[in-house]
Amino acid sequence: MRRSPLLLLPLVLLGLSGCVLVDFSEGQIVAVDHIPDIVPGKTTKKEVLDWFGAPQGLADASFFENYLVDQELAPGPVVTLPFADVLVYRFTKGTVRGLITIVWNYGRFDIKSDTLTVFFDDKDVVLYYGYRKGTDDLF
Amino acid sequence: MTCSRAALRLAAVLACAWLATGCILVRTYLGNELPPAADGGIVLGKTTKADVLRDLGPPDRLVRQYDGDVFVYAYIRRNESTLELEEPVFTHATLFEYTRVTERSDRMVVLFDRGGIVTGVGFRRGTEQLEPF
Repeated sequence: MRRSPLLLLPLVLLGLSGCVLVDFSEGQIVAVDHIPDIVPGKTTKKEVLDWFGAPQGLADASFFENYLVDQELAPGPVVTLPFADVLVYRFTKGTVRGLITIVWNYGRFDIKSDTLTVFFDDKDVVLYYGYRKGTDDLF
Repeated sequence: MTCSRAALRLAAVLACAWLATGCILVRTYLGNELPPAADGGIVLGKTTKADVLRDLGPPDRLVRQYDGDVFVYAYIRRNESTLELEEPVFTHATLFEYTRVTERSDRMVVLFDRGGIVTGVGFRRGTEQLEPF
């Protein structure tokens, strides 16, 4: 009736396994409630700044984005230099999900962002804008 | 006697399991996916910057050129697989390691003239060549 210690192996392996969960984010959440208020030819830069605050590149550290660029994993900041006629708002979110066992380890990194880009004419009135929400698709 | 032999077997298996630290799979998904036919609705000399912003959203990068803007869209996937054998107790020396990294990206570049009309578009889809898992 004595059982082989080999039967304990799955339990031992299970006890030595673990999982990794990491969530991180960078930037300010884009105030989506105000996006329908943007009217090309009418909305001014002052209104955009009032609604959405300081744009990316001027106020945010962008530490994570810089790291990704250094690793050649991202094409770079949306605009390299702050242009007077473009304001960019970006909120980046990432997740890490990992399963660690002795002989098989799996990790998945997902990084998505919500970006609002607004273009202005020479009178600081909105010419056109674009918004893309990517963080809802996070794994 | 049977028990000690089985215990030895267990110890050997555990030692091998520790020694063969194992395989590591890392999957990286970076950026927002582009629609299947991202460049399908773009007509050179006709589509405007407003159209592109409406249909594709803001670019991941905006490049300023002398004769107009360039929108860059990018979605990058990287598959990394590693097999590693390591001495687990004393030196942690790596006895063997093999790593394969495959990176593919979907990239689209849209060129505009100074008036904001599309003058060129380039689209390359590469992520479909990667294993899904």
